[in-house]
Amino acid sequence: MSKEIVRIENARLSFGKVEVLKGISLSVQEGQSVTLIGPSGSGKSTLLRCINRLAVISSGEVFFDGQQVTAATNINQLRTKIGMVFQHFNLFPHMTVLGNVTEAPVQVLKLAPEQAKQEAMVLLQRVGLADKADAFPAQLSGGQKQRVAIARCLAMKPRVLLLDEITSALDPELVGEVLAVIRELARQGMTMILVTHEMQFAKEVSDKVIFMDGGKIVEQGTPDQMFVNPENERLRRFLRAVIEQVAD
Amino acid sequence: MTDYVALIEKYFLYILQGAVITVELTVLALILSVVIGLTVTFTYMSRVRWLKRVAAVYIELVRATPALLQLFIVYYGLTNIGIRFDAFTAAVLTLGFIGGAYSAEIFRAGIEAIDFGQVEASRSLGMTAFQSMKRIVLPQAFVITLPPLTNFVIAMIKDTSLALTISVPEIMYRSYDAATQSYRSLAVYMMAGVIYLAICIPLSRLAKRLERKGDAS
Repeated sequence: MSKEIVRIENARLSFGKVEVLKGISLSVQEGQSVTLIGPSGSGKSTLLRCINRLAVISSGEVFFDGQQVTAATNINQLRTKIGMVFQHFNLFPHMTVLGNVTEAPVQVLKLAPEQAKQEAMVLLQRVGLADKADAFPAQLSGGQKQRVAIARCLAMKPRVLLLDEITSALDPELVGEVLAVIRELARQGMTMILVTHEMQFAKEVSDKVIFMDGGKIVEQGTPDQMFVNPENERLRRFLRAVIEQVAD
Repeated sequence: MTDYVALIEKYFLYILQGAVITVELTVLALILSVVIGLTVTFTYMSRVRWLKRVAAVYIELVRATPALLQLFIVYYGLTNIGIRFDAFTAAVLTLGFIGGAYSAEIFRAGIEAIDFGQVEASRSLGMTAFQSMKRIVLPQAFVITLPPLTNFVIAMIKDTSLALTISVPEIMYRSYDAATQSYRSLAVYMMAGVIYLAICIPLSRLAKRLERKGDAS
């Protein structure tokens, strides 16, 4: 029996008068990869951001590795174990690729710079960018930037990766190189929670797929249940719309 | 022509000595401006509502009243409630007070120009708010801020001329003095102009170069 690493209980969150999350409950086991799908505005990204408290829930509970994530939690400590990759990469433009990857290990984990550098080079090798170590983010393509962002995350040796639409800002021909890295991580058993519009990819790497709409979980199940024989009418409509869009 | 040479011999050095005062005024007022400016910036960005309000009111007051009025309030006005500064101190305080408000706006613009996504990224890696500010935001904000800050220094140098009105012997005071003595206003004020240009043009060149460098990166 695998261990539960993330649990969300009846989470609600409002921005002003708009309720973005309307009571979400979710459990993620270690080694699982869980995909959140749904139309924009359904609260997928917000839910993801609640896990590392980039967004703060109004009520309900979030647990990471058995520890409750509240206003009082030493969040910096927890965040070192929760990696997050963003849609727009959010690399540090004034630092080299290597600098981006070593920054947090040196500043937060207090690793010796020399050791951080060695580990960073191994990670850059893994994402195929060892030769770009001394480049600045502005000199990279979108796909390369996102792979650096993934390496930057992995440098903290996180126990969970949160991937927030990491291919949505990429040119179509660059999506593959980023997904290849994620596929490899999934194969190695990295726990992942991802928000994506790449349905084919979701089907391939997920253990569980969750369909959200209007701040609620509408349907969840294995990729087969969700993509092959969706029962829910709203989900069917969503999938049809996404597939038609890809066909265009 | 020899007449001009005589005039320059007689007054140029005299006015030039005022440049020392001008530079001293500028440097001290700048230091004060940056201290006030940074404090106000962080106050303004803090989550404490009333502190924010105080910072906003300060900036508004400074921007919406003439510098000369502020100088007179500090130098003359405050004596009514028993606070007395010598002219030089009053000028430094006033210019620093004004500069604080303007530089606060420059600093804030620089910090706000940094994409918030980078802050989120650094925080999500476990960096503290302080580390994120120091390592990620400020180094970039500093580069963005340099050109407007240089222009701000130039404006400050020119504003020190207001101190003439409370008899601080800087460039303007001395040239006014020289002009009244010699009845040769045009020639004397030209000398003062040359001195201001000699100080400000290199700075404005620097600002231009920094701007170009900023665009390139």
